[in-house]
Amino acid sequence: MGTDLRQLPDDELVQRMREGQVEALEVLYDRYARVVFSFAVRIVGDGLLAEEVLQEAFMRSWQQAGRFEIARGSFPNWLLSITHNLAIDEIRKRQRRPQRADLVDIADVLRSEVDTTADVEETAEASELRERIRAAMATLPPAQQRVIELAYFEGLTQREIAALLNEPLGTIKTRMRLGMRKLKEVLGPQEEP
Amino acid sequence: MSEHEDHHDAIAELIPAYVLGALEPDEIEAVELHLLECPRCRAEVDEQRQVTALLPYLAEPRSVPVRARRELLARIDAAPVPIATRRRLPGPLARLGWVAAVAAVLVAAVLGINSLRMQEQVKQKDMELTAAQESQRAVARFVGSPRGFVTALESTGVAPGAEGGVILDPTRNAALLMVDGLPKPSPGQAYVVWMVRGSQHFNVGVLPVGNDGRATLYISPPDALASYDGIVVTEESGPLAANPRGVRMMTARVGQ
Repeated sequence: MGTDLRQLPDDELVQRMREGQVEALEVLYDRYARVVFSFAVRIVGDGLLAEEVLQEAFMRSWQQAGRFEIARGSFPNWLLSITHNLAIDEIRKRQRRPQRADLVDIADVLRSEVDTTADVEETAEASELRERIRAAMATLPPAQQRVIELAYFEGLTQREIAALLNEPLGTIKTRMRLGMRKLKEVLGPQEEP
Repeated sequence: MSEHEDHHDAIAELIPAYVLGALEPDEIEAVELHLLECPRCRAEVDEQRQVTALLPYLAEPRSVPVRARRELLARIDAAPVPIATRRRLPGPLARLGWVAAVAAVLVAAVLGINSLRMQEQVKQKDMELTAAQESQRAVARFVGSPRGFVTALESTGVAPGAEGGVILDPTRNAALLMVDGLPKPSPGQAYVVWMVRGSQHFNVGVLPVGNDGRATLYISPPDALASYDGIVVTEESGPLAANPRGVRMMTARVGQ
């Protein structure tokens, strides 16, 4: 009987992905698909587009497993960083062209089933991290929360945020700086998620 | 306070926006240049990145449609081999090994370029034969050029696994750029190759990176190779960019 892959740590699973073991990818998918999908939905605001981002992020982790170095960060950090880049690119592209309304099988969407394995297998750390970052954000004044969220989830620059909120650029920079400083203090030294 | 400290403080103030991705391209460049020489700011970036690494968890949890897994597995089934399991090109500084290994690829690259050129011109069949013969001779000259040399094309860190090299042939004033391990550009983006002279950048073509992370580009620069300082690859929103505005992916020195 072979090793139960679900018992293996992420770095061992990534090593197996490098060797071409699709089952290792599936275990990582079970662990992190929900976090990645939720994050993608938060950025792109569209479940179908978020599915594409989710697939592409895992596809890249599969194709680029050889480049992942545990010394430089955890697997979920790496995966979420790929997801962030993909999702922000999507919303920037969407600003440049009209919304698509093509090739979507509506019936398929309507009968979409939930991937219960990904729900069940999500790591306990994920819910713990959710609680920690929410609690930390709650310590910030709403105006500081807002600029951090506009930058990170909507891909806006400080100048764009200033224009959007009709506030001086200096005010936005200060809010961002103070907000990040406070988050760093509240969260303290981090262990890699 | 010294000018140096003033500059340090000004850059340090940009770090929160840098890690959040909220800077303009010129500001990003200023921060990244400073980070090369400032360990304090590099440490600060690392610390603040630990904060941004938690921001994705602010998203409301959502169940994943089962369809996404099916489609992902189908895509992997269609392209099943991860990069690390493929044989990599030899390191760009292993000059002789590199040159020997690329000889076959050179043939394909030059043929490919000629093929593209021919598509733009009148499609005359006899040109294909001539071009094939010429390209074979060109490859032989390229590899055998006594004045040619190889220079490393190094990743800036944005794509840490990317590596490559450039074969420069001053005799023919041509260069062949080859990369491996570079992820495909984001949808709608292109990797533009620039010859750099001082602050001037000249768009010399698009690096056609495939799903396997590899690409080659034959460069025939407008001026003598020796007049350039280096080569830069950036990710741009279109192939015809007049100036580099996107992320710098790889760089190489040309002049000595």
